[in-house]
Amino acid sequence: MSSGTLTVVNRCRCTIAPPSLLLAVAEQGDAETRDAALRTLLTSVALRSRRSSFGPTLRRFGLSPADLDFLPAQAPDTGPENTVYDVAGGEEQALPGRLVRGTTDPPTGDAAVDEAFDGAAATADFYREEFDRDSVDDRGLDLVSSVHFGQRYDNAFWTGDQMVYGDGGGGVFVPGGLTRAIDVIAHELTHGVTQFSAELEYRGQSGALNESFSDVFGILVKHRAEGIDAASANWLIGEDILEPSLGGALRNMIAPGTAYAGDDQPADMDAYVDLPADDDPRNDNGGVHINSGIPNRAFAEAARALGGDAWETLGPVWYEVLTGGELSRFADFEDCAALTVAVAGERYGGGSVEQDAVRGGWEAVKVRLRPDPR
Amino acid sequence: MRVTVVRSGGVAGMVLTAEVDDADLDTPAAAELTGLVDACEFVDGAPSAVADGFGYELSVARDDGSVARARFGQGAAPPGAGALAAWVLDGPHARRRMGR
Repeated sequence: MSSGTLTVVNRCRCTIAPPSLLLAVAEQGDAETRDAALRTLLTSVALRSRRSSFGPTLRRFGLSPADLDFLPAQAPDTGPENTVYDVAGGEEQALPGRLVRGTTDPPTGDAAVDEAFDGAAATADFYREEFDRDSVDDRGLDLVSSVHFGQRYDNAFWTGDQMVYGDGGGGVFVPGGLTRAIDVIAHELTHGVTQFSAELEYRGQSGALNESFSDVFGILVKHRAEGIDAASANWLIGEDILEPSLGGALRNMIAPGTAYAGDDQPADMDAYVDLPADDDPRNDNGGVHINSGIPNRAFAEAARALGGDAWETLGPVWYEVLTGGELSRFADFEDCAALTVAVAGERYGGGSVEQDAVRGGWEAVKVRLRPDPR
Repeated sequence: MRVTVVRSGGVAGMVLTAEVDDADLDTPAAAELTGLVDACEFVDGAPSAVADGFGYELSVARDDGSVARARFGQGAAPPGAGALAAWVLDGPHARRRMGR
């Protein structure tokens, strides 16, 4: 359902009705009443300023925060709220859980809560200070994180409107590992940035690009937070959070396929893994987590060649490609390569060392470079 | 009866396969597994709607040669499938291996 279906059929201005009453009307009324009540809910001041808090409500109507784009952005001087909830072993139906830390609250002493809070804050700071981006959606979307999801749950994910973290300990991640890794937190929040920008389809090469942009900005948030130089970086995503028997990291951006025993990421197009984007879970939506190694390495090679602070050298190039509106949601690696080379030329000049480094990165992974697509 | 659960995706993007055969179980555990299988609806559910969500395949190969299978994404398990998958994946009985 898109916002386009939320046509105003009734000019009723229920400005004194509480949200709970409007919600009941929206759920129980006829089509006209439902639309009017829902419209009023969505345009309420509370919803404008705290849109993400309404994630579960929106999902009940098949909506997402992206459907609220017609609303004015949150005032930029307030910044997004950063809140963490404890879902206490519950799953999707229990989200977001019980509020345990708000924006101005001190640390709680629960490592998962405090790490989720700090990771979200660092990621939002990164996007605001480096790219002038106002939160995940560039419209001040509040940062909501839920921790202690499920039982020994070995995953963290972005639902479309909030972050969710399991505790790990299920055989893949060490207990507490998922909130400990700031690059994993930034990886997941960047799926939100992609959702609100290029909307890369999560299948095949566009899906692998979706994964790669999350790894790129995940590692850049880590490098910036820890002052890591591109030339000396190890380019590991999720270092030291896997069960040691599995390996040392989730992915190795500079040497794909070497992060853990069984890592099957290819290092270049000669080893591209062509899988169908079907419903077989083994095929990974057409290899989105597998072939992402190729654009990951292109970025890492280019950044390493330049050295210095990658979040300042090539971060703006990749950010412009992701959010600039020219990358198709069905883009393939060649589309992305051409755009990054073009944007690097615009930013630093044709034939600049930066543009040469970007070109060299894609050449290293054997992605064909087409002429500037524009 | 052999029950196999394949879980893929997640932020790690790893494929985990867990397999349990009731012939290897003691009587109470075998009865528990049979009860979970009997309560499971083997129909496909929606794929994961979120990036880095898990995808699952649950299959049961019975001694008479019949096979039942369900594929679904995180949060879209058909009735009984979530409990069966969790019992196999998280319990102490299954053989587990990583890889596609």
